Amino acid sequence: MSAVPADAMGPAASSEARRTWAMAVPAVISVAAFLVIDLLLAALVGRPWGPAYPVTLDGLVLLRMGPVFFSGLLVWPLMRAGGATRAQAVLGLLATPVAFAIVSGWRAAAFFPPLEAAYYATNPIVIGAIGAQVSSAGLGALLFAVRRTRSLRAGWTWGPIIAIVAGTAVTVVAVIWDGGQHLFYPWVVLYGRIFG
Amino acid sequence: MDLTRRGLLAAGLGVGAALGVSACASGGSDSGGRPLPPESPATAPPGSPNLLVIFSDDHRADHLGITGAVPFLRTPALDALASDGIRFDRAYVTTALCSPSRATLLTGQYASRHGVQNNLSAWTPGTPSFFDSLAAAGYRCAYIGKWHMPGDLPDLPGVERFVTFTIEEGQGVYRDCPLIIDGVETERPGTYVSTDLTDLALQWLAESDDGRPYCLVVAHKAVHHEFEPPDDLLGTYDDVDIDLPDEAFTYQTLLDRNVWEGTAGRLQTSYRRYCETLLGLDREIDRLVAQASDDTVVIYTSDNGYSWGEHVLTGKRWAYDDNIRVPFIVRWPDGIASPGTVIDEPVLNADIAPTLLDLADVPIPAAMQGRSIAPLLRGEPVEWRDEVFYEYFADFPYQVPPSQAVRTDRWLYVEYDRGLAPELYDTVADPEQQVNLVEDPAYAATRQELSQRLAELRREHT
Repeated sequence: MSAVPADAMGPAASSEARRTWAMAVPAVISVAAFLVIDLLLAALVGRPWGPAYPVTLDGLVLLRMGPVFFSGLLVWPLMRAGGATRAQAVLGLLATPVAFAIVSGWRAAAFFPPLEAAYYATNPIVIGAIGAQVSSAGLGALLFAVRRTRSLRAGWTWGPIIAIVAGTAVTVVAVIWDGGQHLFYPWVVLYGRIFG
Repeated sequence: MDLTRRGLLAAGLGVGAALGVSACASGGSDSGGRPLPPESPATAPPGSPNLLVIFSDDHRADHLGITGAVPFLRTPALDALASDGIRFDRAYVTTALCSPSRATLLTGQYASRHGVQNNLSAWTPGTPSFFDSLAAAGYRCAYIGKWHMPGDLPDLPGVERFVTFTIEEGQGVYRDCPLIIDGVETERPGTYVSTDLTDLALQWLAESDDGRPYCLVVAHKAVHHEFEPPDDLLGTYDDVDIDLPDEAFTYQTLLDRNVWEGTAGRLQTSYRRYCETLLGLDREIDRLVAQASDDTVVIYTSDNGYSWGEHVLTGKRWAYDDNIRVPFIVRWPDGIASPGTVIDEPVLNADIAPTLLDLADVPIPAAMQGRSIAPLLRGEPVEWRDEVFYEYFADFPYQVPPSQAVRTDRWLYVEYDRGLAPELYDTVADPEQQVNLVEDPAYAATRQELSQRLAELRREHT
């Protein structure tokens, strides 16, 4: 978004910018995929046109979960392979759940005042999505390491395992265990304490 | 004969009520702060009927076997109740949401007045309910079941047995649901909540029988999500064809507008479990009603309806009929003029409190906004309302804007406080309320008229 042309920043800066963008491509694709599917869903929902309507809508709803919950499977290892630092890869990993949170909060702003809509963006599904992304990233890192070393033993490290276990635990508590009620109710009670 | 009886009752009522109030005032309270029974309890006049209110959760109006709306659904106990009594075909709730609807049942008031506007607003201690007046008139009273209003559990004056649950923010669970019985937390291992509540209701009826008439409210968790039927009924409807609305689809449960309803997953599966849970509830209603003598008024209704795909919605809160219409059946062998009748006059959940008081020949407080349906039950000619007012307040995090609506015999007109444009439906030509006529120039006059009427109703009821 800079108004300064890349050439004006010098060849080194330009090259660095290109490298950063190239690194970020997996995360950008994930965010773009989410946004496209979400917009398509919003445009089509509630306008039945025939037998293909429910199949299409079901497909879109389920497909939307891919980038929001599981894109870390590719985003993390591809960004790391592209030279991203851990911090950069974490940002890339969180980009889609954060985009999902922003869209959720923006939609909620139609029904709730701005601050409450912002609180809405911290909802358990966002938390669950972050957990799933961490878990997916761990799995992706493990699979890529095994593929690179062609050995489960050589590719094995504890970092991805910890990410898989911790991320899965967060997701289970946030959205799976009893339908996520055990986080949902505290989140709603906290809302009441803040805004009530 | 009725006049004579009423005259006698009226003469005795002031004395009885005065005794009741006096006794309550001097009766003190137990260690938990619960009012003790009056030392000199008022005596209910002879012939006072027993009052049994069975209140379910999320049971939509057309899901009764007797309506035939859902071909595979069987509700034999409720069907029998309707055949032996009166079914109100146009029964509405004033707010289609658990907590406000419960408070309306107890107070006969709109949420604007009683203050329980959503599932996060607490019941204000001291809010008058029909229990106060009935206890003062010599009734033994109990509330058994879902309370689901935040804050401390209430000490309802006059209620001698109060059983509820607070787990899951008062929603309860279907199995092993811990209960709070007169203030004492009680584990209930191995129980199914609809059965357990029914057992406790029957137990209280037997234990407390001292010759006084009773007023018992049994408020079920069923058929609210998680839609868990009893074990023996699980899978009963696995093989039936489910006819979803055109606009519905299987995973609409994952849309932002539906995702907090606790139905994430296949819509059809949740719906099957809902119907099976209703079947289980029906069985418990049969057990409870079986003990009801002919001088017992049994009222069955629900806190709100439920959308199963209509308008791509899964849940309640909206002003559409799927959400605001509820089953409403009254059985009273000793009092109903024409058993088996279906009545078209629109009635409200707010009508229950004044009806109970009227049937007990207790004065109806002016603060109650509902009307007694007793004349309709007796088949007496009466000027009745021809429209109802609906209101809904924001209930975080559900994406339903605050709204008010007027429902006449033909029109549904809704105005939202934010987020959505008004809606107008011709419910006769379009019973599914799919075609919004609000921008249609042909209906401009209708819209204007209903908008004005809604403004009047808003002023009148809030």
